[in-house]
Formats: sequence, C-alpha cells, structure tokens
Amino acid sequence: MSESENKKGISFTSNSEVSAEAKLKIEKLVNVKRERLSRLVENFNSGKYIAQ
Amino acid sequence: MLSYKVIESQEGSLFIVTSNKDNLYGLDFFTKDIEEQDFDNDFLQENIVELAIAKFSKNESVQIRRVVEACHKIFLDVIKGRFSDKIIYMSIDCNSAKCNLIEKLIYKNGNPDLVHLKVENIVGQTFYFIFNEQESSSIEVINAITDYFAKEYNIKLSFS
Repeated sequence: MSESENKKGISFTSNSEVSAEAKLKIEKLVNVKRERLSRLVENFNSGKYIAQ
Repeated sequence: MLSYKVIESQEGSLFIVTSNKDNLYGLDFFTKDIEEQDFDNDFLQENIVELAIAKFSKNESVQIRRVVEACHKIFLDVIKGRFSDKIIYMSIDCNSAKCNLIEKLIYKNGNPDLVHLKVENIVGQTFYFIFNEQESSSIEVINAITDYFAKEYNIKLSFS
C-alpha cells in the first residue's frame, strides 16, 4: 500500500483481485452509462438541444 | 475561443461546448432517482450528481487545450452553482480520450476548493469524484467511497 496526495487530488487503486460478481456489477453500471450516452447523442442528432 | 450554453431541467444541467462552427461536446450533469442509483450508500445517494460526457461533432477537430479550458470553466460553474454541495461522479474507460481529457482537467485545476478523487482501473474503469471542499468534507467523501467499494464490490482501496 502506498500513498500520494497533492493539491490536484487524491488517487486510489486496488491490488486485490476483483470477484466475478463485482465484475458483473461494474459491467452493468458501464452498460447503463453507455445507454445514457447513446440517448444523449441521439437527442443531439435529432436536434432536441439546438431548438432550445 | 470555445463557449458553452446550458440547458437546465429538473433532472440536471446539460452544458454544450460550442465553437464558432459547431456543437462539440455535451456535459450532462444529472441526478438519478434513488432506485436507479449506482450507490447503495446513504451519503453518496444524497450527494452524487452523475456526469456523462458525449462528443457531438465528428467533423471538427479542436485543440484539446481549448476543450479542457471550456470544461474547467463548466466545472467551476457547476461546483459553485446549482450543485455546489454535491459530488460530481463519472466512470470512464481507462486510457480513453475522455480519460485523457479529465486527467488534463485535473492537471490544469488550480482552484484549491475543487478536489478530485479518483479510483483507478477497476475492471477497465476509472471512477472520478469531484467536489467543492468548502461544501463537502474530504474525509466524509473518502470514507463513503472506500466504504462503498468495500461493501458493494468487496474491493479494498488503497492510496496510489
């Protein structure tokens, strides 16, 4: 375990192995994020934000 | 010079970074309903605002320095405005262009109130938490995040 902190921010990492269950949870989270991004781009391409 | 406009809604604030020619990026700061939240942690559920960054223009190439400057102004607006007492959260694919953008943003930041906390490379994702230290206690945020990763993912975080 090492430590570093400066005025810009604080960083964490993990050296422990991630379980299959945790991987699934994070992959689900990533998929939700990608869906959100797709909707954002779709809305943009449809002109939704230009009109406002 | 890049500028930006903001579209406010009940759900959050969408900032659109624009050049003279085109809309370049969308920075969507939004809150989720409790049942949709990623965080099974009372403190984080109450305080997290999620950020999604989308690149809109495929046609225009802009210097990253100019994009970083615009994004930095947006972050300061957000962290001193509507979401001043909130924690801005995003998860980004490691080593991606967006990760590069956020890293440059962190490097550029000279505002002592704006604290960046990141959890690096967990299943290919880097998790960023950005907050106003005048409004949110760093210790409380750190404790909530380390506690969340331990309970939710059985991941013990250490300073890097």
